[in-house]
Amino acid sequence: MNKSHLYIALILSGLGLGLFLYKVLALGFPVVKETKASIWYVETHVTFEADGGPVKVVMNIPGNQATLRVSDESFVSPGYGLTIKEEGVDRQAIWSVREAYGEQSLYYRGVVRRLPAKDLPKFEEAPSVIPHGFDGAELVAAKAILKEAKSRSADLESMVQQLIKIINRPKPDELVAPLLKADASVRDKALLMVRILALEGIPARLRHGVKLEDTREAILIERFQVFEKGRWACYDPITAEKKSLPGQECLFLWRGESPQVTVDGGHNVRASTAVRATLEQAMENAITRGRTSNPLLIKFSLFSLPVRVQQVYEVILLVPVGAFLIVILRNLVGIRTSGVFMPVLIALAFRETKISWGIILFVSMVLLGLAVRFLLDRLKLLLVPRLTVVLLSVIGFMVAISILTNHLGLERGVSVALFPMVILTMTIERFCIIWEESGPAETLYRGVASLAAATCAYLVMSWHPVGYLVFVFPELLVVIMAFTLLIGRYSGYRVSDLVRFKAISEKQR
Amino acid sequence: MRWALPGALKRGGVLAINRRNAHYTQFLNPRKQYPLVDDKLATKRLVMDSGISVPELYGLVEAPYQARNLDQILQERENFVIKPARGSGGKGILVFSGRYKRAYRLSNGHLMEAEELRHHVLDILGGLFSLGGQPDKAFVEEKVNFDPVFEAVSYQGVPDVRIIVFMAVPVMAMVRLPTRRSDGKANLHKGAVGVGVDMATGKTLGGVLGNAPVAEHPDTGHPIVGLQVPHWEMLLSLAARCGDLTGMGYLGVDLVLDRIKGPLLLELNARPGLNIQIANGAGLLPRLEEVRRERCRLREVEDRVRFSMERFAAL
Ligand SMILES: Nc1ncnc2c1ncn2[C@@H]1O[C@H](COP(=O)(O)OP(=O)(O)O)[C@@H](O)[C@H]1O
Ligand SMILES: [Mg+2]
Repeated sequence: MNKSHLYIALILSGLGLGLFLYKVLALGFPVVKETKASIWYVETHVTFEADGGPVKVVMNIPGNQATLRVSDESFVSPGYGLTIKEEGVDRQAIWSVREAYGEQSLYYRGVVRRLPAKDLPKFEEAPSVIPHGFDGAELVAAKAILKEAKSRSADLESMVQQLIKIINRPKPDELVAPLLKADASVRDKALLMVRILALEGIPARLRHGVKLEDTREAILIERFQVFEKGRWACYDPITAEKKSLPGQECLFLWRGESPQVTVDGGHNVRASTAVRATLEQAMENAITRGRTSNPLLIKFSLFSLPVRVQQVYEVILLVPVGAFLIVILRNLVGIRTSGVFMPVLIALAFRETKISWGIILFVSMVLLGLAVRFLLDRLKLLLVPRLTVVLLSVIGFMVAISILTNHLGLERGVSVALFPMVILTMTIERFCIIWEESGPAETLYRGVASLAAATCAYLVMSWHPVGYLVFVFPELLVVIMAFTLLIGRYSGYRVSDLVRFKAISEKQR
Repeated sequence: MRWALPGALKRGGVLAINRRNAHYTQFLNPRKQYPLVDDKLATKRLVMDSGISVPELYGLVEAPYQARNLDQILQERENFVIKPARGSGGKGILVFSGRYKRAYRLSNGHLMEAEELRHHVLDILGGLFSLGGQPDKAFVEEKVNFDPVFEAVSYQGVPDVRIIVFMAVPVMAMVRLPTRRSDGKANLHKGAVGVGVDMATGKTLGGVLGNAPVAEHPDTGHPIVGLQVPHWEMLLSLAARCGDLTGMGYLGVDLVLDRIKGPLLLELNARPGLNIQIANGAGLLPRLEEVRRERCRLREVEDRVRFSMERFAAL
């Protein structure tokens, strides 16, 4: 018996596993995905029109906070002098230039890293109370607000919430009007609340931050913080909703009531902040290590590709995994699906639609297609034109389902467009033939078998550890290839044979 | 238990699909011989040259425009069969046994308009029934008048005899009986009954329907055990000669028995089905092994036929 497939399989799995082990053991690539991203690039871009004279830009920049460290900062500001002012946790970048004309553009960049829980130092500035600075009529008005808030509440927490509600009452409110302009910003309101709480000696402050998630233009999150029972409690300064403590997913950019950027000698100031989550810490370290010890390996790896292409490969590399599953189902289990790789492609579509919607959409598309196909039967069209008509109606149904589900607000239904329509058309034709040739029972069997195979493939392909492993360690696909070679020469019984030929084994005994 | 353990199947000598493909069809059937077997017209030509009889070929439709000549081919014929040249499993085969005005009567009694028939021929040409959807040819051949032995156990169709030939030695055989479900065709996948045959005598043993054993014909209710297949020895030697002619090591030979013309070759299969083992209640593996061991001393067709009649007799 020819054994060369065995040797090839051995060599292939040796190569694949060897590279895999080298990457894990020597370079330290993590085998399981770290559950949270832990490095982000944060970038704030400031633009304004300079007036032609001296310009001074003061920008609040983020500092270290409870679980996050800011490092590797860089400031892009051609022609400007830069000083950094640090006061406790408050940090400011001050750019200045003697004279500037026209459109100006400045960048701040920093890398934010999450600290592992064990390295967390105690890191919280002492709460301080600013002088409230009210006098005369203002003092009376402020005290009246405080009194009202207190009268409606039982403890500090509810008092703060009442205070936020009073301040945010729709204008004009006789209580608040003397202290707040009609067009007061969130910052103005927060400053007022800080001063009112200062009357009671309660430390409070406003903080501004961004969510740490991929975005080109982060929305600023404002949190009103009050020091209660030894901790800073956070409130939404508009809705008064109590929020959990500064979440790990939130990077505070600055605190206080000042705007993020103030420009002297310029107008039309715009500031936007972008965030990009990046590879996990351990992975980044591994790649850095790889660059020095084995530069070719990293240079010719998937990580060298542009991010967008990488995302495409994350999907493509899952296809062999699904195909391998089909090999197992067909050659070891003995399930007869309709079309060899049709279930894999359907499973890919399921990834986008999610499984329950995917099955509903798939079944309805096939049923509609079959209905059209049976109607077409009367017209006696030739094979290829008939397939094309079915294809056209399949696409028509896709459009109809997308529009309909969109109007009904069923977001997932819209994704029907992701089904591979040519495959769907061939599937419909094949089901139709099976129906005519072998009857409804066989058609149902094939349909259910294909759907079951697609579901299995979906479950495996959408399981995150699998996607992570094949993307970070594509050499594992070589191991899959080795196993496929072995199955390709497997000449033993399939599970289905055990049922099918049971009668013979009995007679023999 | 609803299933058997692999060990039990192995003791039963069951040949299953993985092994058939890996060790028999892939190894013993040369790729370049496949067209001879996969194309029924090529098979006809091949065996006719060496004097094996086949159902008479009435006509051939190779391109869509020729479908218009269908009337010319059919003339006034009442009994004929339309088939795709590269079909399998009975797909695309229509068996006709009469006419009514301008329409043709199928063996199940339904009528088919000339227009519908032409459309069916066009579907065949388009490759709807062929392996891999390749464009195909359609042909019209004589309908076999089958031997009356099987009259009582066939439902509206022609039974055929399937013989597995290994290294040009017949190793196992069954008679396939059409049923109402199989629609006039004797293909097991379509729901025909397979009945094992004793290689020594040509007498039928037990039958299978699907994967389950049966003793009577499901439609006529007649017992299917103990029937004598006529011309048995001749069928075996025909099968053995087909093995020689094609050069295929592992072959399924489909024969029919015509009332007047005697045994005719219907078609050859390079990947014959495995349910024949269930019909015979025996596994193929021990027989294949035995042939492999003694093949070198079996030169002549007669030697091989005698060998299989002696060695593969039912117990
Ligand atoms: N000439 C014929 N006359 C009557 N019945 C036929 C004829 N040809 C085929 N059949 C029926 O159709 C079945 C399948 O035919 P066959 O030639 O073996 O094609 P396939 O490759 O599809 O099995 C036969 O078992 C028989 O019942
Ligand atoms: Mg056949």
